[in-house]
Amino acid sequence: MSNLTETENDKQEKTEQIDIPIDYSIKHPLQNCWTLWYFENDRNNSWENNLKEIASFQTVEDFWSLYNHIKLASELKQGCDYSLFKKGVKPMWEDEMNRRGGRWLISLEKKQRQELDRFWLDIILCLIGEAFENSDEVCGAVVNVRGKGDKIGLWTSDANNTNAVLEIGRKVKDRLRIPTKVLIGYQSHKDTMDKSGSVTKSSYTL
Amino acid sequence: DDQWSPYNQEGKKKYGRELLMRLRADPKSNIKPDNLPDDILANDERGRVG
Repeated sequence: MSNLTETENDKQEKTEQIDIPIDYSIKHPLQNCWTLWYFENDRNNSWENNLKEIASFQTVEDFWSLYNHIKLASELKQGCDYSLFKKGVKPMWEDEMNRRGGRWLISLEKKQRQELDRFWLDIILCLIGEAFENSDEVCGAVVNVRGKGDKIGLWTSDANNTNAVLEIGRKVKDRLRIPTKVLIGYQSHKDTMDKSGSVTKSSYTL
Repeated sequence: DDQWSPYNQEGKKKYGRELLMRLRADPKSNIKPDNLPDDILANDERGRVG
């Protein structure tokens, strides 16, 4: 019994040491308002009709309230996507904010399914927490749940803004703890649209 | 410091991963939103650990 008490005290002391005060009386406002989209692959519908706007949030607490009540990416059916974009930007190439942009693409192998949820959450936390120096360039992120291998894309608005694209890519690789030897590529949406085969060339690789 | 706080309302609203994760435990972070489609509704109501 006394052991238990001691451990509890130790734990409390440790927590207190590293704690910076959090004001729990307020909700924490985000720099941007974000919108969650859901795509379900129903062949009877057009692509655009399969895309549904779910909810928008502008505080940390409202984000968690949404996240805590929806399926994890790994629980979605194959062929489905979640997208999280700044409010007003549609998760499609044609949107004015995306037209000249591209995406950092993280391709997961089938056996990495358990990594998917961690990657997706860490990407979301980078977005809503404004982790990037060039956060103005960030449009949003998409997770594609696919039988042949899941994909996560981080979309930026200008494929020619080399400095911003590289800064964002480096930060993503670091935050997702992707090993240095595993390369990720950035593809402009234009190249993805124009591709003739199944492979899109990467404009940048990290 | 240009970080937003209740006392620095003009500051930039940047949040690190650790702070965001800690705020998840707040009761205000677990209020079920209205009108979620059944397709994406979580299978249970427990607060999951991501």
